[in-house]
Amino acid sequence: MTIRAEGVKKWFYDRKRGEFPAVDDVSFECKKGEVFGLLGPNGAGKTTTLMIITTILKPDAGKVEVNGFDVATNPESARLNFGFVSADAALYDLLTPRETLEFVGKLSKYPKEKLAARIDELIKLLDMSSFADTRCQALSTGMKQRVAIARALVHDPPVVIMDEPTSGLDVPTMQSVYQLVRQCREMGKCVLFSTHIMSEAEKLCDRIGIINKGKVLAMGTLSELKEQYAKSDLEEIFLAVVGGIGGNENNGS
Amino acid sequence: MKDFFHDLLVVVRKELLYIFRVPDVLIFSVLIPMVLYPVLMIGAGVYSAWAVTNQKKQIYKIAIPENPSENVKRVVAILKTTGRITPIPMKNPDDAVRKEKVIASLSAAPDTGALEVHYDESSFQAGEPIRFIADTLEAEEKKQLTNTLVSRGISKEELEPLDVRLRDISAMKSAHKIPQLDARFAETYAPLLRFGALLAIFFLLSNARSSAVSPAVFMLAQERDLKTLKATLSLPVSWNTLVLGKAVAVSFMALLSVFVNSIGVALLAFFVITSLVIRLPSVRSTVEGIIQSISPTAVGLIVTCSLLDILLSSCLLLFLCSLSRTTKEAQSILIISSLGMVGVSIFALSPDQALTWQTALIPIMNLLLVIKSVGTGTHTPLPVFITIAENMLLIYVAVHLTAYRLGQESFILSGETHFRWPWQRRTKSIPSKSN
Repeated sequence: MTIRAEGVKKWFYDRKRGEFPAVDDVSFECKKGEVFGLLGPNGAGKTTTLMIITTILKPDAGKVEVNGFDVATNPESARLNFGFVSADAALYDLLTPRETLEFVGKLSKYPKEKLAARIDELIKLLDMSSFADTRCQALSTGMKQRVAIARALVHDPPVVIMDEPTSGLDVPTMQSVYQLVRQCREMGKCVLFSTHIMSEAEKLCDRIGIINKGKVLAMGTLSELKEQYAKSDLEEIFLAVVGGIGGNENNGS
Repeated sequence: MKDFFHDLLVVVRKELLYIFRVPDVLIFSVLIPMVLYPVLMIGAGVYSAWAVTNQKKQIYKIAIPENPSENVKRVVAILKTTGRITPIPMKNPDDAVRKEKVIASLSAAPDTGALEVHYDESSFQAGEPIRFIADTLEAEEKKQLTNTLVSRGISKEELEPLDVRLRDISAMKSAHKIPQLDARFAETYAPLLRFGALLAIFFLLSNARSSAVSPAVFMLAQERDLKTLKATLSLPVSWNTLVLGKAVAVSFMALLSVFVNSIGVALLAFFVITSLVIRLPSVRSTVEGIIQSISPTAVGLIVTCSLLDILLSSCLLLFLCSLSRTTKEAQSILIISSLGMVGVSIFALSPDQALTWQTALIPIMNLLLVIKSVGTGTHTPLPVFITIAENMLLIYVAVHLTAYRLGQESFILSGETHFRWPWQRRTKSIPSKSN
């Protein structure tokens, strides 16, 4: 297994609600060469789960391993084994894409002599040549997202974690992201793909976990879910699992 | 360890690359000091010009013997042409100098017949008039020499030089062109000069702390607001290294500010010393004496403590920044903290404060007190060692606390919504798996 989450819990505090569970006993596994989709409405706990897996937050209970490294006890080794793409790209505005990739590549201990070639390869792969040396603040949303994906892949990690990577992208750019996710799967990487878009999950994911109110309510391949819930498409399955409007109103993250 | 330094260097490089492209930070840390000091120098120049203009109106009284020799008469005539020297014939001119009735006396040495200007160097009033007399005579000598050479083609050796010697008679020493350091003068001015040097160091350190505020806010609080913090925290580097890298980058910016300010302070000090402060030989001797008395160990200690002070301040500012809920709050907290640190500097500089076992326990202030004790030559090794060790430990603790704080959801997520004070602890226990 390359990602294994077992009984993960995370509680948040806010002034209005006080303590509330953002992630409540989440367990799943994601294998090598597999795209695992974490599907859920806004505020279901997807991002919090991913933040725990990416070592940004510590779980209050449970255990998460990335490529065999416990994210709570050995976060630095875990970080070397994944690349993270967040929904808002989150690039350093005043650095260029090339500088950003160099920074991450160096920190990831990617072989120094191969780093420049790797960066050039990614720039070519993601069609970033025209803006590779332009400061990120001047890039469009789509361009930024491509840079964020390149940043996640620069050290060639076995695990790629994507948190709603197509949010705010136009159709052609979304297609290029899908293409890239498929390429990652072909390269034998484990891809954890969080989304709230049904079609995306249907197209890309080998297995899907439906999450709501911090809990994983259903999990399996698309055909398994169809069979289990006796529905013809993912949207119907999702509504059957999550419920209608207001199904997530008590949660947030 | 190799990996640690590699990662640290990569983080510092990135932070500096980034921060050097932020106009606000450059303006506050570098450009303002670069503008401020020239403005101060212009101010000092205007004051100097005003002071010189006022001084021209002053008339200096000098005593001459009741029966002056021809040489004395000749020099008095030269001095009188300036309109600022009034010669007063007296029975005992040197006595009048000692009693500060006149600023100097002009007489011929009984043994050699050479002209001498006697003055009391310990007198506060002596400096400017003596410089004026010396400059006037020197100018006259040059004028005569030039005129003669041009008009008559006479060589320099054939000229009769004015040959007037300045002689400090306060300690009744033998005549010297440049008198030895006068003990009374050194006792009076040396502490003041040392205090001035300490003031400059403390000012530079305070300025460094102020300059660190903007980069610290930018590197932590604003990174959270720009939403890059999550991506940064998921990078394959330990958070301690990340925080230390940021602290080193903040310190570098502070040092850059110190460098720019040092040039300004040095120019200002040079300008003030050469233009406004008395230029008696003893001043030079005193300054030289102080410089010679500073050992390489003392310089090393001052530099070490200054660097520690800047790094510790940066670490503390980053930690305080991590306690904030918003960028504006971080700015407010850091500005107040920076002012507090300036207050500590002023407190440490007060004459009553010294490095003792008690004060050695107060961070930052103890570093300043080490600098003060080294500057005044009163330091003892053990408190100095304790202070340095304690502050290094504090840097370690501050870095770890900041790194710990970065991992709390109340910092990473929307600060205002999720922030809780330490007393707002969890009241519920985490439900069991079956829940």
